[in-house]
Amino acid sequence: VSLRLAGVWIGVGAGVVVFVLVRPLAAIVAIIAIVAAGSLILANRVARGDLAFRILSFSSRSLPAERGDWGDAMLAELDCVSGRWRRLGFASGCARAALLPPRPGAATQAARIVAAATLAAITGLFLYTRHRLLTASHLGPSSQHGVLGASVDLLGVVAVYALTALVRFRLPTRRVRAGCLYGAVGGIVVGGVALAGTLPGLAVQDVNGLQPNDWFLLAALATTFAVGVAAAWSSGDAGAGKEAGWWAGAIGGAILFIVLVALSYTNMTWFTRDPAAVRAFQAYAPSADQTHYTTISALVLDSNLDTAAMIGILILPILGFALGALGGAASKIVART
Amino acid sequence: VLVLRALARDPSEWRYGYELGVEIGLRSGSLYPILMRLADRGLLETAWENEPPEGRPRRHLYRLTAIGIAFATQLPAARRAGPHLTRQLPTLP
Repeated sequence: VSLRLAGVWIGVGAGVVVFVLVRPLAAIVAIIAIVAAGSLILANRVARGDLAFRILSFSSRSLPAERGDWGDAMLAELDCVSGRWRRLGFASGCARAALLPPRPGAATQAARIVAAATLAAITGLFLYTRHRLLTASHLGPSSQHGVLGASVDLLGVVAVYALTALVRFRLPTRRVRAGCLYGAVGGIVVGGVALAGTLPGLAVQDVNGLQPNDWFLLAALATTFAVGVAAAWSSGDAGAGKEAGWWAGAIGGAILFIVLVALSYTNMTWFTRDPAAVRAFQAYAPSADQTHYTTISALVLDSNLDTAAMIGILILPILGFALGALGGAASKIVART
Repeated sequence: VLVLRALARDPSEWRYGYELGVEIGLRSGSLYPILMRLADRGLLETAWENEPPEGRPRRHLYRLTAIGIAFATQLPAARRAGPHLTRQLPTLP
């Protein structure tokens, strides 16, 4: 057993190394997803029961704090249900009830619609842009920029968002409300500041694509800290800081991603297939793996997509979470003194 | 309505969720949201078992409140009245 386990670990390790070398963005999101899943599994101690128990234990954690009793009630009932399929049926029904609570308020429903539309816009832009890049590459779909690679990136990103949503289990309502409210307002500011520091680059025809101004990026990150302080201060709950910071970063990042990638398509005036011009631009290409594009616009589009994904989907939400948590803690310390 | 009627049959008796679902033929995915809504509206009282058998977790118990019993007794008339039923439901604060 130990030999087999060692083989599995070596295999996983080798896979991670290859993954990091081939697709750094996907590797980062996959590592975050694995860490989040691991912490969730440890938190739930799901290894103790059968599949039905694991499903119900996992999903009941998503219930808000004031409905926590209902999760415990479902788990206690499951203990009295016998038969594998009957237990699975009972657990999956309860999971549905836990994950989709009855009749959410109008604000919650509106927020869900906006979130779903935003995720759909990000997914659509991501896939469409990847498709454009594939058609502009002479390496074809089998290259590392191919459909499989893009799907891995996308699945990683979706996994991170889904797990983050699930990890936020059993939070007190007051904290969630303050986090969402301040996070939504802060997210618009974060997105606006990040865009203000990035979009002036649209006028410059640079093969490096759009690069955000460092000071604007710092200002956007400082906003997530400020939002964390404000949310914690108003709710009296330091934990509201990281909630607000996460939402500010995620919403701001989503705005940056959508606007940046969408506007990249407006900057196609210098689109050309002239071999001499392409070769000249390829000579300035920021890295060797981008030189397979047969058009200059694809080169820039690829660069912009990477920037948008890295800053909008990874850096802003993750650092926003960390800075929001710091802001919440700072607010608590100031309140004590 | 099925849940209310089943609970109103013997209003003083505490019921288990799983048995209640089996009795009225409702799956857990439908039963628990209904129980949550009834509890939110003050029609359902919930409690935890005092002395569960050894090795088994305490189970959640359900029975109608006084408002719930009154509502359940008026149920057939309210159903015939149609839209008035929803207006008579106690709302969340």
